[in-house]
Amino acid sequence: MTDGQIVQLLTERKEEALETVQTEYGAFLTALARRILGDPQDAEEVVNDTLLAAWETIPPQEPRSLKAYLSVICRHKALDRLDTRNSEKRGGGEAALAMEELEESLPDAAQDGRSWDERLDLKDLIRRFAASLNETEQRVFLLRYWYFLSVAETAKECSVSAANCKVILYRLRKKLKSKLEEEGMWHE
Amino acid sequence: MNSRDLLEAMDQIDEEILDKTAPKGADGGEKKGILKRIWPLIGVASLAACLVIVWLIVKNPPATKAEAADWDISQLTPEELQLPTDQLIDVILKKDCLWQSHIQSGSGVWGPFEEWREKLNGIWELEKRDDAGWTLYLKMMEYYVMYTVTPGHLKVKDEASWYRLRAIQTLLQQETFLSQLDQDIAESAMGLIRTREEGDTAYMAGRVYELKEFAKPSRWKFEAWYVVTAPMSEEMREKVLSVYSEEDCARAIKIYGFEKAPQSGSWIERYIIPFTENGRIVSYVSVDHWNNGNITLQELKREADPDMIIFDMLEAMSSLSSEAAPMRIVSNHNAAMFFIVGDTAYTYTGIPQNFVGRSLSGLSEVQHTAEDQLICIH
Repeated sequence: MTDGQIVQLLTERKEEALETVQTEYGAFLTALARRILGDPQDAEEVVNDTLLAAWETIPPQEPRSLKAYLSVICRHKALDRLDTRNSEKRGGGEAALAMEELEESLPDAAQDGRSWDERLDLKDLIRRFAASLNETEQRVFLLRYWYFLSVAETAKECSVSAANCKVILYRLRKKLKSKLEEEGMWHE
Repeated sequence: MNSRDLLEAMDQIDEEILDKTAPKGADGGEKKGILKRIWPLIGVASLAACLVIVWLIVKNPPATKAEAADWDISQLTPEELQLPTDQLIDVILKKDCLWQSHIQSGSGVWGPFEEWREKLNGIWELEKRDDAGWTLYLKMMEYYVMYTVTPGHLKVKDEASWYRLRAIQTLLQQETFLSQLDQDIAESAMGLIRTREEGDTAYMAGRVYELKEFAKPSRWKFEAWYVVTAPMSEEMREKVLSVYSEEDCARAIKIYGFEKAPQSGSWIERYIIPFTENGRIVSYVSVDHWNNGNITLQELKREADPDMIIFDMLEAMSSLSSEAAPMRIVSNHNAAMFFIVGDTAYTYTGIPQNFVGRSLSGLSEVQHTAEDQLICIH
């Protein structure tokens, strides 16, 4: 069944839509949530929450790519849950490692604890940053920091060596840092 | 700003790019790749399973339907009936053909269970002999659910199964009985939902989600709890009001009607009977037929009198909070009346029948508790 057909079912409030979504994307979403959270049970709950959110938001939303739409929700919910868990000192999955790596990308000003000017639209910046990357860089960057694949898995997906993948990631973090510094405005 | 902000900001990355870069391997959840790799194993395992099944059938022919249906309490020997409850449970559960025969023929919400319980009338009496009888009762319910959610019988998609499950969980969560009950019952039943009917997981998600919401402690600040479920037909409404006039109910002041369920487009009748306590209106509406396209709790909240506090009893019952347990609601919240209408009233509350009286069938058999606090109309 195509995404369009599934969205149509959702729009018509037909229950089988959720079953279809589960069949088509359940494994994908579970894998994503599990990489972020580590814990299978948490991941399963996040996927359930994701499906519910899809049910509640379509309509009015009409995503062109259901997979991407669900991924965004799932990732967001998993990260939220990770926050909760972190506050409970329960650790996390691959996302925790990815976050540690991304600390390198933060401008010094941000790491000094200086506040960040809200005029900087971070989401827009990241969107433009991702769009500016070449195909390989995009895949490496997003597989690691969006889909939270391990470095080894990312390397395999992109058909590069793990060492090469690490180098690409390192360069991308530097590049992101430059971009943030270039556009960021920081207060003392 | 921290790295978490960066991760969150990535939400805005173009869908097209996300689609293009999504993982393709097994870790991305692609089924075909996995299947391709494990296909030979599946083939071998299937062949082995077939051989084992054939062997089992030859060795132990299954009971016929007639045999299954004929089984009843009389099959318990006098010696077995004298066994301590926990041992009696084992004996009963071993004779599982009973349950299957009833569930296969079952439909509706509580009917099959009632029918089945009639057959077990002797045991129903037995279970009242001591507190351990509760274990038996719950084990029976659990077993019922187990079969109900088994593919080939009623599916868990059937709302009745869900409510039964919630009822079990509710009872399990009452601390009075915790020491005597097997905590795994509810969990294993939930596990069945997840593993046996994966396609229905999403269906469940909505309810689980709302249950979580209602489990928040801030939700439990009610001065009094008065309950009525919906939907209620015009005829039923008239009956209710004929039996429980405003005076009879003491606090029934108005009937609210919601004629149309937004979104679904289907026409239903749905009423709430609010009651007042110290000038405050507190009411309850169930979303029992939520999935059938009827009005949802949220929709109802939008339409209802702003002074009315509406919450879902099912959710309340299923909360982890022990305060949500039905008997506690009645006793701890000083409710003068706990009013339940609808054919699933019994299921919703999980209140054992010996608490409310013997029969819930028919308005003429309206039951009161000794304290006159709980009223159920089936």
